[in-house]
Amino acid sequence: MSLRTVDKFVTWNSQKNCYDTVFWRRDILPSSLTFVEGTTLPVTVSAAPALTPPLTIKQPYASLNGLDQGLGTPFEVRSLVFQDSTDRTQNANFRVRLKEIGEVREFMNREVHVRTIFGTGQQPALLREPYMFLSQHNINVQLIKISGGVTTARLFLWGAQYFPWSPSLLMAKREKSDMTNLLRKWMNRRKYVTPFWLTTDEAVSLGANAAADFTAKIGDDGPFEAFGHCVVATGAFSAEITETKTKQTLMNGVITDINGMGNSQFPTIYPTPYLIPAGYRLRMRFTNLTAATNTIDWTFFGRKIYAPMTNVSEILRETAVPTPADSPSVMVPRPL
Amino acid sequence: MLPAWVNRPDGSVFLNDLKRYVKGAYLSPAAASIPVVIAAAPSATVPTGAPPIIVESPPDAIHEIFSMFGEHLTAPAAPALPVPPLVDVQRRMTVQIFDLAWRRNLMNRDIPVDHVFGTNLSPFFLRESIFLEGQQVLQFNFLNNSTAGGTAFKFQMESRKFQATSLTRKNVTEYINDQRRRRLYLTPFWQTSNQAISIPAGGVVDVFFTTDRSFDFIILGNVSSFISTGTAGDLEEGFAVELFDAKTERPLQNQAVVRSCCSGSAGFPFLYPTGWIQEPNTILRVRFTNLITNAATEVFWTFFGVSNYTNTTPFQVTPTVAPAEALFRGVP
Repeated sequence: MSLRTVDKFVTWNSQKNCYDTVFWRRDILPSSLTFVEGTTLPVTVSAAPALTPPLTIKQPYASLNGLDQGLGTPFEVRSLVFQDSTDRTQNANFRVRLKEIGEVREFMNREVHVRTIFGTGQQPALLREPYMFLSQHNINVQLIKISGGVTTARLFLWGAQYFPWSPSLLMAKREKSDMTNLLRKWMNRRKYVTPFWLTTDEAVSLGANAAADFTAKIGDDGPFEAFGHCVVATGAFSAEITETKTKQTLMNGVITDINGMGNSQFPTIYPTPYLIPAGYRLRMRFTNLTAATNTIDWTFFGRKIYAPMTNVSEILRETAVPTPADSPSVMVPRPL
Repeated sequence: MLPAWVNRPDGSVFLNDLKRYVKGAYLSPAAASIPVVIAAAPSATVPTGAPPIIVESPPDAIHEIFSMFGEHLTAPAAPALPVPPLVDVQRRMTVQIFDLAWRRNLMNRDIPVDHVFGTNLSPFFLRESIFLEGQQVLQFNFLNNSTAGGTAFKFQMESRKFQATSLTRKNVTEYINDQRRRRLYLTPFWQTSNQAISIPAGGVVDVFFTTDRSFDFIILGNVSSFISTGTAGDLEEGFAVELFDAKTERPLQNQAVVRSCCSGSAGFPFLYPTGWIQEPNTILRVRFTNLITNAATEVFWTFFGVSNYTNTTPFQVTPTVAPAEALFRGVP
């Protein structure tokens, strides 16, 4: 029995009476990607509250006489891994903002705590939706220290790199089409579904034993499917989440950070994914259970879905008209 | 969540042969042979061995092994060293596993025990189970490579036991037949570097890993550890790694990756996002950079995955595949 899908890499050959290795997968290599060459690792994260200059992660273009059929050398990002060499990884205390430059696509509503989005080699933070990072595309990364002095860090995207132009596929048309068909599916899917992280619209910092409401808005551009959440906080707290539109709460009482919160390495996974329609807002009430100031970083992880909607109320949201920040999107008239 | 044996949509239980007749079980060596106590090595290059340890499937059952775990029992008495003696002994203790029934080594040479056995809380899960018929055995050869003290190591394996009574059930026998076929070709495999790895202070070395001539090796993850007496530099990370694909030399990264971002332990190994296929008799290059600046670092690096034994003779030096297929496989 196979505990990991080695069956994707072998197939039974009834004529030869043995397993054949699936050799077109030889040209999909596990790979990592970090900041462009020339950026010295580890990068320096300035002392709070300064923002680091934007750093770039770029997927290079490589091909052989156009044999890539326009697909380039795409990189399928599957997990995020980091290391902090000054504060140490387990105590890292900075936030990250990721943005795809080519398509001006935000991966998050605001910067999120690094320990709610990046894991380690042993426990990587797995994307619930892989991101197909195309050749010549760039991801812009900004790092913001939350408190304390300068630190140094390394960030890596781990995934699979495709070589559709590989010379070893020259004489294997069927195998090559297997790979290009798979890539074309990804090319289409990436337009509509991307990984996304949702956090509170404002940074949460509560005084001793204080309680306050915060909001987290899902953009009007598409619904967000949350698979779970990760939390980093400086002290004990409790939380209660309500959908402001439906007035539904996600819990019948408060949950505390002890029994309801994971981190990026061991996240809290929902029993069923939580689909939050476009334009919705979550009201998150946090209560500080300590007698000191408490900084809370709560991050939902999941994917943004830009697919067309069929429901009437969803059609109203097919608009590209900017919506007033506080208006429910269904109130925005459909453009003529 | 409902237990898996409640297998009808309405919550009732339907006779499930595989689960009813098949039991979870453990396989361990004979009580007399554990803990594995081996005296300290006489020198850094001459290890001390121990008699082979045999783990046998009972005659009345078939065992399918899923995971391995072990523990180091005691801190050995040792001379003072910059590296804690217990750590030195544990990290240098190695094992080689031999599938006696099929005459197959499950690793290319001795592998640190901590790369093969996890712990009771986080066992090392095999990516392809080992299927042992009644009275078939696995042979474990342990070595103590440390001069700092003696070893004391216990280990066990978790398995699934198919009792003789289960062989009357059709779906059980079908499953067993499928596993017998798989075992002919697919086995778990650990691969470490051809030679021991030592990186000079602040230096860089290229290390090579050669895939056996008789199988395709599908790498699924890796485990690493290191020993250094250094006191300056990045003592927590120890080293950084660059991987290059065998034959094509394609780099798997755009900048060197530090240890904690590309490797793990037996209990929590680093799993590659996709399998990495190595063809028979090819050489994979790994470049190690020492992040410790005032002493050499010894690195132990193990890839693990599944070997797929091909139906070609391992004694053929030149490939016998047709030209088109040869090109497809990347043969020059």
